[in-house]
Amino acid sequence: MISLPRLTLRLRLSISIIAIVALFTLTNLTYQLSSENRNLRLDNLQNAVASQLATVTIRQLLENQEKEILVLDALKDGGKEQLSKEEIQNGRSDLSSLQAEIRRLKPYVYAETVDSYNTLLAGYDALHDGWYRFYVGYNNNQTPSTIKIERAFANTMQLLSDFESLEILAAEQQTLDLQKTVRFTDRITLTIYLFTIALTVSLGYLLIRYTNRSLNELNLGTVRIGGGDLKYHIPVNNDDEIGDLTIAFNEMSDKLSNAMAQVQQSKEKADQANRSKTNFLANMSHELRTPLNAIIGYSEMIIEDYREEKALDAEQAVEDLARILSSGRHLLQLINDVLDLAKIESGNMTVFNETFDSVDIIEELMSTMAPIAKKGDNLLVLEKSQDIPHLYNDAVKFRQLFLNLLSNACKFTHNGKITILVTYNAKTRHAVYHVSDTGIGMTPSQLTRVFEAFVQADSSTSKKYGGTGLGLSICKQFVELMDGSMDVTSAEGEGTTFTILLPTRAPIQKRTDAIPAENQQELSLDLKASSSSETTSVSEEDALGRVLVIDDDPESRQLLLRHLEKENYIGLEASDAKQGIAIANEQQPDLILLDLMMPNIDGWTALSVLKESPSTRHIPVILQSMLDEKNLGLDLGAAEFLPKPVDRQRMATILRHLNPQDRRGAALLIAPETESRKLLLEELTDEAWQCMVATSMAQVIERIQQKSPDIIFIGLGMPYDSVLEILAMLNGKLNDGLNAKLSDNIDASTDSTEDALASLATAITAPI
Amino acid sequence: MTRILLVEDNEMNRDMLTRRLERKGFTIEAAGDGEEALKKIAASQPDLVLMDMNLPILNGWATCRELRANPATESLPIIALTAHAMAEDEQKARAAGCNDYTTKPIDFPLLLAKIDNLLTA
Repeated sequence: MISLPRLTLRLRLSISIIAIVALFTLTNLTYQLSSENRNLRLDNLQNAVASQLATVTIRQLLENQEKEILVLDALKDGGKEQLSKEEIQNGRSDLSSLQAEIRRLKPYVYAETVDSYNTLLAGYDALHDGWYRFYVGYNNNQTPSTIKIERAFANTMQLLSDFESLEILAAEQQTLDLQKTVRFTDRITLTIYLFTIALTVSLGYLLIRYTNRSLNELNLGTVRIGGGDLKYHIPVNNDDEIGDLTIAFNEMSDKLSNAMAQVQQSKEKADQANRSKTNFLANMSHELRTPLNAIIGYSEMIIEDYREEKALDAEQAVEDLARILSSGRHLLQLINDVLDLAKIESGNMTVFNETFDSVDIIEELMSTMAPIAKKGDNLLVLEKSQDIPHLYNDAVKFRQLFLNLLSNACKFTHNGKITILVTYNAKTRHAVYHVSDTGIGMTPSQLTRVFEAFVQADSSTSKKYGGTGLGLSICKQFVELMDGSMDVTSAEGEGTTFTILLPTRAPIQKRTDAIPAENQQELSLDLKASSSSETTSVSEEDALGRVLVIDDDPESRQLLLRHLEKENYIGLEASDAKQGIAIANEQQPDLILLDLMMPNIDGWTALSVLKESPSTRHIPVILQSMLDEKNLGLDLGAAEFLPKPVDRQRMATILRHLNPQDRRGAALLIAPETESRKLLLEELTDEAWQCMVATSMAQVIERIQQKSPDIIFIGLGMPYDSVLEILAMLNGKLNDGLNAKLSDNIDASTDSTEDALASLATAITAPI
Repeated sequence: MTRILLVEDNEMNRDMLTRRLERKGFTIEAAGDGEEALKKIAASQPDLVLMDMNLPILNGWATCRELRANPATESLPIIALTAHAMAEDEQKARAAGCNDYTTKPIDFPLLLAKIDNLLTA
């Protein structure tokens, strides 16, 4: 197949010019041909005329010669005897010039007359011969017979006449032929000339029309696009420069349209934000003015009372002052809440994580709230499942959160029951708190706006029940800061239940926050164990962590698993997103390697599911793709991006960087089996420490040989002697390169456990 | 004796204004929401109404519109009292039929002047 070249404008113009030049040349050639023919014809005519003149001369000469011969012959018969030498000579030269004259005819001879000419020559030669001998033999009386000469003369004259008429005929014929050719070439010239003109005109017209139309369309398009119709596409009719220009123009308008859409979107966002801000300000103004009204009004009244009556009704004054105070407090609360919200919104709200018993705090809050609950004839009940692990989170925010929820519940409930139900989801490692009341409840429409700032179920609600309308908004934001989630269900007239999920594991990004400085001074020895990372077989104990590989391609999955094994990680595998999400939920891996290109559910969807689910959102996800989608991935909650094909070194670095276990180490607990040891063990395990337990000297030695611990806790419940013994032994080991922190403050009492946990926190920050 | 109906749902504000106005010699009757206000106006035909706008059951704007729709109360002087202090809030109150408008916290002498102005007009 020959592919036709693109019919560009340039090509069109070039072809047209070449065609016109070619035709012009052809016209010139035919013209040249015809003029040559004309010249030939002219030559021919000259030829014919010359030939005629020559024959006339020859005839004359022949006749003269004949007369002379006849005269001489008559003289001879009359008795004149002799011819002088000169006369003979003259006669001979006359003959010669006659012969030359006849030979001069040769150039005028045509193809058709050549025979006739030769015959004429032959005829004349005979005559010439007769005449010559006549002159030569004249004085000797040996002249040939005049009759013979007469005959030759007549013959020659006849031949000359024949030749002459043939010459005329041939000339006429030739002229006729030439004329035909001339006429023919003239016609051709004219035709080509006319054709050239027609072609030039039509090509010019077509080019102008074509260019004009394309440019007009382009022009129309620019006007439309310029007029704001950015969605308009100029039709692309031609595969040429104008087509290219049109395509480029369309692309430009597309980009412009996109840019405009983006600008519009950001403008709308900005407008929305502005409206929200104005709304917020209007609400703020309203909320501040209401208590100020009471404060100013009552103050003025008291002043008036005192000025006008110079005395105060003490009872009335106290009552009024109490109102001023209450309004002032309300105002303060409002300002604090607003500041909190502003802090959260600007991202300046910090989280101070510590380990605490959430149930303790709730119990304490319940006793605080008891009088208020009693005032509304409400029953305050705490229900909890057996074991609720301690939280590593912001205790101050936790307290504020539950105080808020409980006071809300009391506010909106009368003669009812307020229940706090605490459970633990071991699978997702979340503590679940339900705060339910049997109060006024909310309508579905109120429910949808309950977490918005300054929205109370009804504008009159705040007047009836007080409150700033900011509490729940703050609560929700707090819970999110605490890496948890908050939901609400409600039925009007039946009551409301708030459900809060908080992770019992440390929120990964916030782990290094705020370690109380005073706890740094624990009885702990800080030395470093020699690294034991040369293990090749990966056992649960020695592994750096558990990594889930979600990839549909078995080969790349296997490759990753091999890499992981070499880097001392335990690999878990899933061949699709669904399975991967299930395994992530069940097994709680430390890290997830997620392929983006998968059938059915792709990696993006899997990522959003993993990041939305409270039970998996804390697990760092490393995305894998052939394409560089790092920024989008990170925006959507991925922790890192690993381009495919996977570079093992890079993978190892990323894993080390992200692995939550990597910053922890092995902990050895030397303590008798008590409740506090169990508690600490649980905490340590929750914090992803690898825990070993020992109760005797022998066990301690055995454990240390198994794996050198990074921290050692010695419980006070141990017999004093054996503690000394163990310490002596450990000191020896430390000299041998064992490197660990020692902590000896585990006691049966809860307070000491907290101290132990605080020292655990110390262990985390110190560079192990 | 000038009789004023104070429509205000906030107990504290109601108490405060009632007492202050009574000291100035007005007879004050109070209502806690719009419906109660309409009933009390029909029953006791006060000389002037001080109306909070954010009211339960029937809000201040709706109450004003109903009063203006009724020939008996179409020219009853109403002063809006509200913590909404934006310019468009005044527009909104006047559009609903209020003769005057004052924001909380209340400038008491100004309120007295406004009351006086409406009553002598």
